[in-house]
Amino acid sequence: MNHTLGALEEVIILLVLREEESYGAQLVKLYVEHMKKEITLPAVVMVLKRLEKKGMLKSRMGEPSAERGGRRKVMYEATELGYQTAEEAIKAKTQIWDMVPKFSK
Amino acid sequence: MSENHKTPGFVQWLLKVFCREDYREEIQGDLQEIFDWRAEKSGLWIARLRYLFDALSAVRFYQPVKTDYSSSGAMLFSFLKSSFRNFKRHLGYTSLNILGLALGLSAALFILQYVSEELSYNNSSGADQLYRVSNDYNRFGNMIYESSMTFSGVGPAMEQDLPEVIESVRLFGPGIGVERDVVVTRPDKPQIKFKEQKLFFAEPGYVNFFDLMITHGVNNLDKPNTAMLTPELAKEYFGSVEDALGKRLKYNDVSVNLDLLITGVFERPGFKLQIDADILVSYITMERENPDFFVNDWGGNSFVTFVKVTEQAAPRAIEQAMSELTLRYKPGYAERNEQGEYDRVNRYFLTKVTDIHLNSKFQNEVGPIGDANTIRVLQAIALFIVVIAWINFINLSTAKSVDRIREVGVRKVMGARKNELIQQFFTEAVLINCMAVLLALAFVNLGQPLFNLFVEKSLSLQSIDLDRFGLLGVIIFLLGTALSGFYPALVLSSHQTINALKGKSKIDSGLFLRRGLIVFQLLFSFLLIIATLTINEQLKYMNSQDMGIDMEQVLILRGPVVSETRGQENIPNIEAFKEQVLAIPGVSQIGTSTVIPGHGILRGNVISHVRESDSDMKSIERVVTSNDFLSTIKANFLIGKDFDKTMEGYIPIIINASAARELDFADPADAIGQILYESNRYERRVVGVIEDYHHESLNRAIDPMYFVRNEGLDTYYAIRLNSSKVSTTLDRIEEQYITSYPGNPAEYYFLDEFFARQYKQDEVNSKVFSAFALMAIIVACLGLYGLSAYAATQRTKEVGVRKVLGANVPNLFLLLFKEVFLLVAIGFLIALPMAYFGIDSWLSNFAYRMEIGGLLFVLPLLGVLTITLLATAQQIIKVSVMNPVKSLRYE
Repeated sequence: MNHTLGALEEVIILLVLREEESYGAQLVKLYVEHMKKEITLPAVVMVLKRLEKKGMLKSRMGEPSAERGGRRKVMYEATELGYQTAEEAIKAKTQIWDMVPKFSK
Repeated sequence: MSENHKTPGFVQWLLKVFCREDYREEIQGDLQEIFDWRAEKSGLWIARLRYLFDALSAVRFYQPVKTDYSSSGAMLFSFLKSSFRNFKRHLGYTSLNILGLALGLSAALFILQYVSEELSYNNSSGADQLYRVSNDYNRFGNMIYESSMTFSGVGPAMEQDLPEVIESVRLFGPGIGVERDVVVTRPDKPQIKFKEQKLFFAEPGYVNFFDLMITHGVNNLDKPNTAMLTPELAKEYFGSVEDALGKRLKYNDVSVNLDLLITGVFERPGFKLQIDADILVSYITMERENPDFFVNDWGGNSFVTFVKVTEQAAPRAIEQAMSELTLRYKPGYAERNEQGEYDRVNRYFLTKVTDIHLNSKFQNEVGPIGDANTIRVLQAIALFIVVIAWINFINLSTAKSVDRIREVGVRKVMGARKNELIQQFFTEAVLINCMAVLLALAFVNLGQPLFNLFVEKSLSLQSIDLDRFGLLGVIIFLLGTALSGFYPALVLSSHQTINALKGKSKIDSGLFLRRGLIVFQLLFSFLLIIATLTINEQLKYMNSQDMGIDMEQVLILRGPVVSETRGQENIPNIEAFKEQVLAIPGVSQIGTSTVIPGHGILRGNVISHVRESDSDMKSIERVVTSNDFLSTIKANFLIGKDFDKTMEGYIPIIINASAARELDFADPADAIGQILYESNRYERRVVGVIEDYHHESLNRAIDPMYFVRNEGLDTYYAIRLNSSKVSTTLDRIEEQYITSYPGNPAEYYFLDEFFARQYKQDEVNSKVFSAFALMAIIVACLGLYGLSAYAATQRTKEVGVRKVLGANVPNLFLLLFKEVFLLVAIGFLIALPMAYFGIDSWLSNFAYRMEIGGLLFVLPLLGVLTITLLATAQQIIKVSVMNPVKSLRYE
């Protein structure tokens, strides 16, 4: 099983973790707010499906709602594996970052 | 927010196509939510745009639907594969098919180029509000002239007095009349000089009326002595566009010398211009120079006048108002006769600027004239050639279907459904059509230089007016492809499985249709060939007519423009030059004239028996000539003689036979010695009457003309040569011209060539028609070849039986050819009356027309028969000489 995370995968899984349980549209909104750039929904959903396949997320069908034109949403939640992989990835990066000499000027 | 924004329907459809089904609900729901959010945040348009991106991006979820085997993806692949296999197996047939279609399509593309350009004249952005003003003149109930140009007072009067007229523009082209030549010189380098035929004095509005783009400098045409030119001309004079700005040029014609400042450089627009100027000089320059004629004159019709009217304006009402306005500006025209009608009447006409080129009826139209009927006929030809090509395709594929019966049978047995077979054959048809388009484009690119040479234009695929023909062309092409694809597909797929397996084809049901199609092709070919032949014959007829003068070996040399002396002071110079030219070996006679045969005639001058009286005036074309001009062109004198030096103390004139009749001389001899009055007062004595000669193209009747002597006008020198070394004589004449008239470029041509220019359009048409006739025939022959191949194979067994019973090869050949012959005969019989009436109505345009002879029809018939014989012979012979053992076993 592939346990590495791509850059976009990392952001998405972090956002899912932050919300505990989330879905595509919400993730797009969060992404746009945090990253200050646009993203298309299919790109996000693609990542979600891939993470699910890797076993880092699990999904369940939500309830239909009026604001989605009566369509049901798919809710995603991080698994144990997802949580750990994300943590490791962030930790590794933070460690490296800490060793970076500070930029004066 | 509780209410959903509506998302674009098209994008939803896109999403449906792109996104796999099991994700669709999730994606659509999410997208709806995001759409609403974005609409709140950044507005509806941004939201829609992002929505579109999202939908397009959903293509990553695309998943070809895997269902049973008949579904599109895999089947299409299979169709394509077997199509190509089939093409390879019947390579000859396929190439014949593609070639025929490609030929038809390329012919149509060529025609569209030609037609588009002809239709593009004056098609400027504001063209629907632009009109050209022309007028005619009636005196005592007689039409005196109809002119495309009008008076200088007309434009300003319309602008001032008629509220519907927003703006008027006058142009004056000194080079378009016959009276003046224009030479433009660079003052600091006098050796750089050119005769400028395309120089116009124009008012500043012309630039906006016709979308000229000023690339450098400014439009200063409202100031005197300014000029603008095209980049090409700027380069000719100054080497580069930038260097031209702010420079000066010297303008000379026979009456004025001007100093011009170049203030701008203009680029021609993307469409053709009826008045195609190289240099525009400000009109006000001439208003200063010659105010009587250029400011507000109502007598000289020399001004091309355009008006821009309001959107609601009715052109007919403006014409009416103008005719009434004339009385205010021409009080003399208010006189009425006893019946209360006006003695003199000017009527004015407004022509849409886009209609000028193809619908002009004026002898003095400025710029090239086309013919609306030719354009209509060409469009029809384009359509018919393509239709013929498709007919061909249908014939060839159904004929070939005999070979593919077994394939159909096997496919059916293997479980192919009927609509799958149709799809298979349809795929082949579409592929062949597509390849034909590619090949046609290649043909057009390769043939373009040749075609351009033929029609003497510089056309390209870009010339095709896509706004006009684009959509129509695509629709016709799709329709044609669909029809030509479906018919064979239907025929082929409808065989009974059991018969198909046996290889038996019973598709006689479509035979009648196919024969009908062939007859149509032949009919069309006949019409084209007969048309080509007719045009050629009429041209030949006109060229072989006795012109009444001898134009061969007559050199026309244009008179000088730059000259120190004017008018009568010129006589010594002209006399001296004539003497010197006559001294050159190979020159036998010389004379001058203001008009030469081949120039259009505008009957505006008047002559009468009685002095100071209006009632007896006749309008007759006036030509000013010197001694010996008429003898130089060998006009035949009925009585009297040409002007010579013995005629002193009076001004002699010579009239032609028509003029003698018009002036009521019962016998030409009665005219000799009579006094006539030019313009009511100038006394002239008749010294000769000449036979009518053809001064204009033979599509016009001969006009009455008179010739008056004046030794001081040398617009043209006519020089009769009797030399065997023409080029040496020409060199000597040119040398003499340059020595005698320094500062003038020598320009000369032969009179017969000049005269023949009038037939140019007919000659081009004849060439265009013959080229397309050839293409149509080739395409039609491919069809015949296909049909005869089909017929021959169908009758293989019959031929075998006949052979066994003792028929010989020629008998069999005749038997088989009979069918083709019948089709040709039917096509010919239908073509006959159509062609006859077509020719008759075309010939009615000509004052001198040939007889419609039987050869016009017999030759095409023989030609087509020979060609069809050649096209079908191979197949027929193959069947006729086949060993009967083989043919009996056939099937």
